[in-house]
Amino acid sequence: MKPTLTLVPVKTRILTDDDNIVEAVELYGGHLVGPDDIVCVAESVVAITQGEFTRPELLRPSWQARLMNRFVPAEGSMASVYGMQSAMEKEGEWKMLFWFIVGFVAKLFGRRGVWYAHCRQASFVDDVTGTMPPFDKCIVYGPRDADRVCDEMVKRLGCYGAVVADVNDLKRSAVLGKSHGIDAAEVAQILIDNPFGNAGEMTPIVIIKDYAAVARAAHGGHSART
Amino acid sequence: MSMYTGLQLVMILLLVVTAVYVAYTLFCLWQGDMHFTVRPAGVSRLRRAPRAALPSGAVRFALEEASAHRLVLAAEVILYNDGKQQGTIMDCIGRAYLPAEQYPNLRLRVRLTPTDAPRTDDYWEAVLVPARTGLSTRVEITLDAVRGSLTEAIAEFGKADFDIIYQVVGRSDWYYDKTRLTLTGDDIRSEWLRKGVTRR
Repeated sequence: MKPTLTLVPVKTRILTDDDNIVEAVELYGGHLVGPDDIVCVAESVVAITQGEFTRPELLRPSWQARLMNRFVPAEGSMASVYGMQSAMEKEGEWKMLFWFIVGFVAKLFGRRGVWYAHCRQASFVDDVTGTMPPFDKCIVYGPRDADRVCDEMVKRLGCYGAVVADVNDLKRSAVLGKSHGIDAAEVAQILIDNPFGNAGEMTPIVIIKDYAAVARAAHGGHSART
Repeated sequence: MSMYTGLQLVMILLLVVTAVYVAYTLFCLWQGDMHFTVRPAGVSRLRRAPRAALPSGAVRFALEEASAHRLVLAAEVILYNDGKQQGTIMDCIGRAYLPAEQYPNLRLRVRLTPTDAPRTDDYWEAVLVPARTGLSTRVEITLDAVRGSLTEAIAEFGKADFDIIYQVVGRSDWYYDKTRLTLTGDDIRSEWLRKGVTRR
């Protein structure tokens, strides 16, 4: 029978900075993972288990943050002075200001996204309300060493691959970290319907079952690794 | 370079910095920020938005539960963002002021929860409120008889104040603010009679 892709969301308890994401994935989803599967983990949960979050009350906004946040559209995390400051804590105030000015000039010449490309935390940061309770009152950064986390998961679980993904209900899907040989764009497309859920589903892990088997069938028996 | 040329350069620099600062300040004033007030439900516009307190009787509480030892009243208020920017209500707390010296037989608890996404765990989930919109919020008041009869305690009830305390953030720094509401004994008793609750 021809293998087909199945997405299996895995429920966990609340994961905090006291947890290790690789151990948590093994504990809650280890028994479901096979050698042809890809393990996907939500980026905010990886960041939280790494302690990559802060609270507005712990930040003291700099004048650069106060200046720059006024020029960002209201919908983004950088529109808040604390969202902006949190990104600056990682990237540096002067670096953010420099690339903000460069990005502004580049935008005048039709090139968009320069600032976000050079200050990655500006696009990774989830401001207050961006994450499930009790982290809804926190600002969550992007995950650290996402590729290394994925490689560790593959090593520990013996699966085909692993990714750290940022997916939402607005049909936005991006892979922020991947284990060796995984096609990030393809996995992002598979996750486009947000199988993680972002509300009360409590399923920060999704297993793409039989990914390698399906890819082999599609490539006439050859590996799908890039 | 003469001393006067140096002074001229310093003056020009100071003027430029001042001009940029003034322009930024004017831009911030034009852009505005979020600003929250508490309004009674159904009031779409207030000429003078109350902030520190809503007048007594402005919020109508309805009796939802009555037993020998417990009374639950609820009302709806709007946490209204009348600012020009989107704001976030990070936290919202009900704080009751019912001193045991005056009300030894009663305990009052206030619970706040969004009307559209009610919770029973006293947790306030941070929520975005776009400019010129409001978040409908259920205010639930529970009166428990600590000892003795609730009926007698209510008969003696004068009035009690409680605050809606909210932590908000927008383009500028977060802050706490609060609005006081008052629950009077007459409100409770009339609601009690209206619902036809008999003395137990």
